[in-house]
Amino acid sequence: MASTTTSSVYINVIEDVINKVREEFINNGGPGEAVLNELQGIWEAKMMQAGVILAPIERSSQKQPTPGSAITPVHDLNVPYEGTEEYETPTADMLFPPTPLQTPVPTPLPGSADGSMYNIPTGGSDYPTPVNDNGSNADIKGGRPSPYMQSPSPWSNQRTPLSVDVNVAYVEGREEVDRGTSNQPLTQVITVLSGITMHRDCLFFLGLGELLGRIKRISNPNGLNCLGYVSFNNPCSHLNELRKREDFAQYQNGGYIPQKDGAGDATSEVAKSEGLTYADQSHPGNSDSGQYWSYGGLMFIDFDLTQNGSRGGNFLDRRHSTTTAKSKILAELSRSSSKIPQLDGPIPDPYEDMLSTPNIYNYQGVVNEDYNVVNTPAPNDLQASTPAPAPQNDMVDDDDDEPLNEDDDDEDDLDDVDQGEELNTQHLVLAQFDKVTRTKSRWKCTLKDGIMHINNKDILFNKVCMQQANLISDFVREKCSRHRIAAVALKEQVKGCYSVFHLGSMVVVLYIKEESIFGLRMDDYLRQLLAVLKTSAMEYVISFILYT
Amino acid sequence: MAEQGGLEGSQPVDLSKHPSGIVPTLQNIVSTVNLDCKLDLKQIALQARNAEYNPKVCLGWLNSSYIFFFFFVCAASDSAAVSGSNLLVYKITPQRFAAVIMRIREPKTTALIFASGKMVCTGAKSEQQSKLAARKYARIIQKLGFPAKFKDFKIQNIVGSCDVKFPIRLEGLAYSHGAFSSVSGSHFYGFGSHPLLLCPLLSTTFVPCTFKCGNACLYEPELFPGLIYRMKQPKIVLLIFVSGKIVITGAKVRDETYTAFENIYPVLTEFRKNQQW
Amino acid sequence: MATFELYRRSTIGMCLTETLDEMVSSSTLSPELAIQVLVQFDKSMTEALESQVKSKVSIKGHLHTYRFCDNVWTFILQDALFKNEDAQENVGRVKIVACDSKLLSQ
Repeated sequence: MASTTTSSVYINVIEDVINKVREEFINNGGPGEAVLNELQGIWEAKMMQAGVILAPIERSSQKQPTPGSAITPVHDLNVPYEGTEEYETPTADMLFPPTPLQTPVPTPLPGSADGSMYNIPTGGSDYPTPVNDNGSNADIKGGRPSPYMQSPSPWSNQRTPLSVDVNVAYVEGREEVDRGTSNQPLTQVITVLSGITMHRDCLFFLGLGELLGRIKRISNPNGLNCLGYVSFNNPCSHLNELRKREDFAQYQNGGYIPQKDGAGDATSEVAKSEGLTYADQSHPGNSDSGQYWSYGGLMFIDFDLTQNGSRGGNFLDRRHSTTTAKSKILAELSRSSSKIPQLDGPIPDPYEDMLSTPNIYNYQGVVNEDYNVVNTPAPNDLQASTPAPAPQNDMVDDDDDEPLNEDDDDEDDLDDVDQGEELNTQHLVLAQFDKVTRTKSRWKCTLKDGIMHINNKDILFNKVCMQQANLISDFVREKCSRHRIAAVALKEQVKGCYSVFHLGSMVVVLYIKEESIFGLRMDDYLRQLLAVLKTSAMEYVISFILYT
Repeated sequence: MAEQGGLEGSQPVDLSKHPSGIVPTLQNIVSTVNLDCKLDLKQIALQARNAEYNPKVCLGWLNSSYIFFFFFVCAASDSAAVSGSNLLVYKITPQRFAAVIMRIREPKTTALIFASGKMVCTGAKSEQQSKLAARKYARIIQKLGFPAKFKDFKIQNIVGSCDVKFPIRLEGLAYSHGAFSSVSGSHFYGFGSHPLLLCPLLSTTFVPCTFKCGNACLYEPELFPGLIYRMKQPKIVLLIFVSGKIVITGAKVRDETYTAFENIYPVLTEFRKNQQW
Repeated sequence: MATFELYRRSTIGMCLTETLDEMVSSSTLSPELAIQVLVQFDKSMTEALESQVKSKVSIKGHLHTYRFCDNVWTFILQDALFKNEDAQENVGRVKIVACDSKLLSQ
């Protein structure tokens, strides 16, 4: 156990220190050996109280650490951590919780899942958000993906209550979906989708392969398509399964979301050019089939979230052969992203004229809003990028001074200042660094010889490689700020990181997997997002795109 | 990567302004502003977020994806944090660098803040963003307790790029537009009178000759794969690559970038490389 | 020899500091001696970490803030995943303080 090692190291350190200062205590008229022993005793007592030393070296009695500082490394993940009253030796069961009670496969229908594992509560949360309190939930994953999912309350709370139980079959992670059982998750997906009545603001999770998806059905004024997106370990087998299966018809049938062709120009071109496979299912009723197609390791389920009739006739109607040219698709998408309104916008020609007008600097109030929404074509006033000619400098200065007071920016960064300090004592790592590098937004650090105090545990390490993995929120925010994106981080303790973002009128759930990128989006926003993400060499699997 | 020089938004390109049909995309804006107060850099570094300050160590960094860096200082650290990517380069040269390097996420920019109160803001993609970012930095400084103002904001450099979508014969262009001359003491290597085969091993002190409207060309493929075109009017430097990608730098206003590109576009077309296969 | 007082912020360091504070307050110990003890602790801790600890950890997370001053890097990571050889930890927020390892060896 790490704690044993830690404990022994600490004991060694204590002894080493005591021995080294013994001379100081004894000689030179120091306080003496007794004081030294007292020092050692108190020190060790405090250490034991803190729970970092397991067994006192010189004491015969075994002291139990106080409840709040239990070292218990893992907990039954089904139960919120309540601060065990007894110190429990971690057992294999605790380290590696048994299969979650709720296996996603057999429970497709909404409401039936008890969702203790896969519940994505919207109104509240089964588990308190893991705050960094002593004795808070330990989100420790054993060798399995954690079934514990944090409450997405910040995000979900913004939506109206679900009309569909979120506890719909959440097919979790890779571990659940073996290569051989590819059918099941797919069936799962299909059944789920068919079983769900799509109401406004319904929210359900759909996971397949390594992907966790979340679909939220809301009104879709933009008429954009919603793209469901799932990845498989073995694309071909899944694909074949998909193509063969009749169930897909079921998937199409069951009150499925009508498909509406939205601004999928690029994607249609892409589909046309890159050879996407899909199944064309047309069904009577007011809804077209949700269509699917796949390429490479990705399956795309396209379905329309609107209640309106479908327009159909989009690229999905065309049949293509399967290719794995996902990069091409991405390239196509990124190329097509050029059609996205250029945010910089042409500067109105006579911006010098604007410089000469005194009013140009009276945009304080407007500045903030607009800058936060750089998407909007900047008002003429804002085009003044160079200072006015000399005569106006005085005026410029005076006017420029004022806006500083109002440019209350850096959003939540300022709020976090206090928070950051309060959380000072929670989860701390003290180490030496060998190297700290940065590439754009990605930081990599090599630390060594450090002590980590996290989750109430002390861990010593010799070497640490730190990477900034979850770049989504920042990345999306910074790249897509022009699209009025407010990044909302969704914390889920499953394999990888999930983030949820609002892109203008859409919500995107991104799952960060590894280091390569592949993804597909449907509309301009996401297209550009993906083009942007592509440059970051990160892998994102876009689960579902939702609309507000 | 988003297409560069692609159509501007969903609106059609204004052919009266961009007759070539291509609009260069702005990649980087460098601006300066005077906060007009002396700053305690250490205090700023300790209090502000996302700040680096190490007066004994100098950092050099490249602007992403551009060979030309707009601010280059040397690093003294032995760790010589060489990023795995080719976007960051640290050079190991002992120097003093007395500035705080601060970054904000929105707009994604980096600022160098000096004790004198001067500040350089880089990394923005538009003039407005650069100004906004500079304001944000000034605001941060202000909130830390310094009487920061926002004086003399000026865009110092605008970098744009675009793609003409056809390959270019750089040698031809260089030759006709004033490639470096062999007159400056160097000698040919027996290529006779072939004008296009200028030996790259000429004297290192070659001087680019100026031809045609006072523009100068420099094409030294062994040193740098792009042709460096120094346009006199407007005073802009363009990096022209065989692939057809163009980098336009040196503009103080966006229109200079556009004008420079429109000026060079016919030349590029003239030296379009015809497909061999 | 210069030492990193960094480790005084750890659990073990804080325990020692508290103990010494108590003893100095009760005049059991002189402040100078207490400082000597702390310095010795710095050395012992550093050396122990170098020699006795052999584990490798990987941290991945979202960088919330960073700071570099006086050759000390301070990071605040959010949603960090600590991977040990046999276990993983997830923390919502963690502060990482790192000193330059080269300063010690100079």
